[in-house]
Amino acid sequence: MHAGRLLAMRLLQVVPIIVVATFVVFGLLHLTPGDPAMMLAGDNPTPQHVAEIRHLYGLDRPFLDQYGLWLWHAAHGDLSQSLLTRAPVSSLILQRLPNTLLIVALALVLGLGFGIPLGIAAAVRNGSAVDQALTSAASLGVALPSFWLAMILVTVFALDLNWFPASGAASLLGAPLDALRHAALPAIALAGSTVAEVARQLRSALIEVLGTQYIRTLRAKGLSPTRILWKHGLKNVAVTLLTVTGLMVNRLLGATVVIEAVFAIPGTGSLISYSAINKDFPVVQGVVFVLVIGVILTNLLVDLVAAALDPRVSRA
Amino acid sequence: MSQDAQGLGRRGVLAGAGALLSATAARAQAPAPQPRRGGTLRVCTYAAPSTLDPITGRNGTDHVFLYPAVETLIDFEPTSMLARPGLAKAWSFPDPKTFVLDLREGVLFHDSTPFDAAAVKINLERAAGDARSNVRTDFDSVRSVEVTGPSQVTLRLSRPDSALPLSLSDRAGMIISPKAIKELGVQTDRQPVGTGAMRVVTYTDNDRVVYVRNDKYWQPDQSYLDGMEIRTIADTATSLRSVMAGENDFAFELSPEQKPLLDRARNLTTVVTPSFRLHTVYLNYSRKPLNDQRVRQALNYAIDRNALNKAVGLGLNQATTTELPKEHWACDPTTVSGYTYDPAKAKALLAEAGYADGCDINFIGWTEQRWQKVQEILMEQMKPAGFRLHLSLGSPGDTATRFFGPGKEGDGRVAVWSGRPDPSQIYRQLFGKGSYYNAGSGETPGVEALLTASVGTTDVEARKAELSKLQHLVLEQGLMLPMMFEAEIVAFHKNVHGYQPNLLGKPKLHTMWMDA
Repeated sequence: MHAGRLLAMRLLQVVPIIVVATFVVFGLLHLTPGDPAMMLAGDNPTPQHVAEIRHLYGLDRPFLDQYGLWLWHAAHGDLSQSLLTRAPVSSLILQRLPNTLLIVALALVLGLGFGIPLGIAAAVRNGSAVDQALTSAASLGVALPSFWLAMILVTVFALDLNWFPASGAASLLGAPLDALRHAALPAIALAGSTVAEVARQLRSALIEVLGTQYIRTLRAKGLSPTRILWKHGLKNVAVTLLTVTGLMVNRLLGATVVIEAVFAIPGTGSLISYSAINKDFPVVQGVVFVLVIGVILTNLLVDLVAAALDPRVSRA
Repeated sequence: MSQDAQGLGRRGVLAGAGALLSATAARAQAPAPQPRRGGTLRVCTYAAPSTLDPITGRNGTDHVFLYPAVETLIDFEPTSMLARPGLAKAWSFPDPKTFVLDLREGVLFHDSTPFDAAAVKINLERAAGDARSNVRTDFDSVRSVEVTGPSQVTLRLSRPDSALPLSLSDRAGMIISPKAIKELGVQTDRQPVGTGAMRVVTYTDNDRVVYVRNDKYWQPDQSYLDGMEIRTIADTATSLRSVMAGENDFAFELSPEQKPLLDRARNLTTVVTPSFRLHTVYLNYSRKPLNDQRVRQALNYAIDRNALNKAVGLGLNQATTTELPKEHWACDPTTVSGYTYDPAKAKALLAEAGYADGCDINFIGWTEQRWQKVQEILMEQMKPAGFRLHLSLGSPGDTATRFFGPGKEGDGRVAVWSGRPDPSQIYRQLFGKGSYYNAGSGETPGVEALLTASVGTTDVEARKAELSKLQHLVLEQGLMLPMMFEAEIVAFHKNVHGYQPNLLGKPKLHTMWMDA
């Protein structure tokens, strides 16, 4: 299959995935207890006032009508307004998405930057004390809750040493250095499990590759271990590494919900949790819509790069 | 070094009676720092504003965001909650059904339009009648609003209502520019154009509201800051960390569990004062088992409020059996300890009511960890009295809908009542016939008559007498299960001055100043 055809097929899958994902989230929000009209009606509401609010915001329309209307507007680029604050959902997302993407990107860079060398080190010394230590540390890293690590980091590096800010975010375009300082601790907290996961996956994939017959043949032919590793070993695990990276991006996006709360970062994670608690349907829907598209695009990019790296993928 | 109430020493925790007065006295003894102009105060709080339009807002936490920009017609004394002049310099009731407000002159809105009687009329009619208004019930007694002079407004009432002045010290009396109302439409939710010392320049949802000084403010000698920034940080632990790290200057509504940490924070001043926020259990007494007064009284005898306060409030809260804190002008002190912990008496009352084998009771509570602790303690405390407490949990909004909404789920709801400026408002909203917070909506004999009497006179002493009867009636009937008033715990940097706590627990931060 050519890359162009792969791209077309993946794009065709986008529409049903978005519809299913947003429909499920919309349904879950309606199933969870609590009535947004009651929340909007404020203190001491009368039943008439609640009914008026329900009508005013279209909350008295049938479920499918409400969903259909939202989808129709979304398809035309209008993600509606927040029920609570009347702010356009698209501007809320645009304000916050850069903060989230920055910490996710930084965490990914750190995760790959440390995870790949550690995975290689463990694989080439398979069974040694170094391997065992790295494998144990990786298991601990996977199990370590990111919010706990975050609080330790804040206590040591923000409150005691005063090296990094304890909370908030800055604009990457307006104050890039300040933005990186703000993103550093959240990114490190998020990167902990990424380093561990990348190292573990890379180690097992590389051990498998390095144990294959053709690698043994290469060794027998006298190729240096460095050349075997870099030219043949890593090339063969590149697709695995790519797949793990794609999964990590998706996982990191989800993990920002907790990390943004610990560091008071105005990002999409905190936006979705606040909106879900307050039953602000349009905002939750809007964020889910954008995140689903983000995940699909990430997977698509992974597929395309994988196809470029390994011709068998595009022929499959 | 941590201080309590600005200078009383780190061990003297001020909580409960006299705390506000002590705070003021302590300030008088210390060499008073002189107010100076300048600086931007950075504040953090756990809740984002629900909206910035006074009449469409939904949360008691909105006021802190509104006060700097939007002023009220009538103000209140921070320590006693008695009414005092605001945008109205005087008011009177020439007869019980007529309420006259004399307005200040020379006041401008942030958009430079004049504050006058016409503006007040537009605001009050909007608050009383707009479909999106959440304060319409505050105007139940108002038949019409008339402009009776360039700076005078007269409200014609359908019944005597002396609760109106203090009602107008709340959202209902917050005045914004008619020009802005007309031009902005629903976007007034995001841009409050008031007459306050600060004007809003940026409102980023769930993040921050940024203010700058209003150079046309009518009380220039009462405004020192060049600007303010109120950040929303949902987690109070993060909020406090940001203050300790110097990223913010002031945090409030901190939890008692954070007090030991504050005591060790040398760069911060800590103030602990009583507030109106009542930790309570709303009861549905329209059906079994709580339609029996003896069961309600048994419930009140079954809980040990002091032990609860020690366990969850570290003793900083104010244990109570009534709905008004001790410092409130209308509080009858004899109602503060109306029920003492007595499981034997509770058991006897239950047996008398026909529940000799114990009584199953269903409460709806909050999922938050701090509240789960409260609920678990309640469950254990109530066992010896014979109550078998069953709990169902949810978020604050969810539990309110389930308990007060059409479903009328559960016998009680564990929650916070945030108080109202006028005591009659409080009792009407909590126990009045058909009121939202009266989950059963029924009428308790005597309550309506006392509510009417409490607003039938403008004389403070006469009102106090009627309100005392009301407090006793509610206490004897056991219409609620009050537990404790939450302590207001704030922390701020040593370079911040002028913090004035108020009993409402909603500080007016724009009157503060900062060292250079």
